[in-house]
Amino acid sequence: MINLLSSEIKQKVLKKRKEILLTRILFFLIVCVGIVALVSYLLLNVWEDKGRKILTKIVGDREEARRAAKRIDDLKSSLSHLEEEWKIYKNFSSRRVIWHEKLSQLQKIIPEEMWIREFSFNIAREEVSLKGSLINLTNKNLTYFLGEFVNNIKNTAFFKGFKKVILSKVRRRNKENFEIMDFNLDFILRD
Amino acid sequence: MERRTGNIILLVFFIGIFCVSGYFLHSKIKKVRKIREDIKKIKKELAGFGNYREKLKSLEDEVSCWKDRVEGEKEYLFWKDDISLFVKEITKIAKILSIEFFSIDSHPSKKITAFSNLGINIMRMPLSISMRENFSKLVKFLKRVENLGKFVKIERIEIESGGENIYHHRIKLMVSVFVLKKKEE
Repeated sequence: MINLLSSEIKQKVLKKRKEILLTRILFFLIVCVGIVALVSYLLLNVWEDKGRKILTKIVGDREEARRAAKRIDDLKSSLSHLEEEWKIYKNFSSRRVIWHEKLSQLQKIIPEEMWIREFSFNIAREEVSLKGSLINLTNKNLTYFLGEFVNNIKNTAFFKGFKKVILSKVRRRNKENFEIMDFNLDFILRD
Repeated sequence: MERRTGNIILLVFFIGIFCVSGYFLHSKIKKVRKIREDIKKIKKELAGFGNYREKLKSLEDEVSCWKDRVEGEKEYLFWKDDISLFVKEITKIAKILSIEFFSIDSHPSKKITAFSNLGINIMRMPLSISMRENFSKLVKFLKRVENLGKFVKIERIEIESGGENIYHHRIKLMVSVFVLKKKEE
């Protein structure tokens, strides 16, 4: 195609074309930026919503955890109180000596030649005091017999729970041609 | 209007849109970033609490178990603040075993321990009993007393043989029960 227009008009046409192109580019850019901005905004909104939901949930969890931590502290303190209380009660209700067992065990270990004159226990003194007598029916050596008895008593169930046994006040007497030996035994519950 | 002026307006409009959307997007990004930072921070804090639900559950179970234990022990150990109930139980046992008491003496109850941290006082109610019985009956009596289902402390036993009937001993007992009293403020 041969352009017969004068160079002045040619310049004007060229300038106009350039301006049209520029306008189109600007318009296109506006539309593009607008779309990008809108899409980005929407996407960010979605992220924000998602984040907020997570945040709300974990803030709730944190509150629950804080309440739980306080409750755990309270429970720990009440647990230690309960343990202390239980120990106190247990201490009160524990029996160091079960008396019906002890007395029936004592009954079993007493030989035929022996009888108990006095038996006493006082919790304050923490000792059992036994006053007994031995009679010689078969020509035994009573001192030896008593010594054996005291030694053997340590291996009996009766002695369990006691710390030591003390033999004291051994007296020999005669009654109606029978040799009798009176003695005192103290069973100590504590050292 | 000339095309050039239109272009300038369009350019200004473009810059305006760019700036406005930039501002909004920037503030949105800031918000999203802040939320993410908060989530991260709270998650870290939550990790510090550990497995609190399990911990709480096991502690609650433990406390309830200890409460039952303490209640059981209290139920066994403490009597009502009424000596007649204790006397009734003792005489019931004596009746079953055909034991005649010479005397029953109650002594005033006495505070033996105070636990201020628990807000309780423990009182002792002693009872003196005297009877004349044989050894086997005494053993049976003590067995029943010691297995009463409620705690009875045997504080003193005195057995004295002699007299006309060598099988019947003079027996003196001192038994005590405990009473729990809440401390008055």
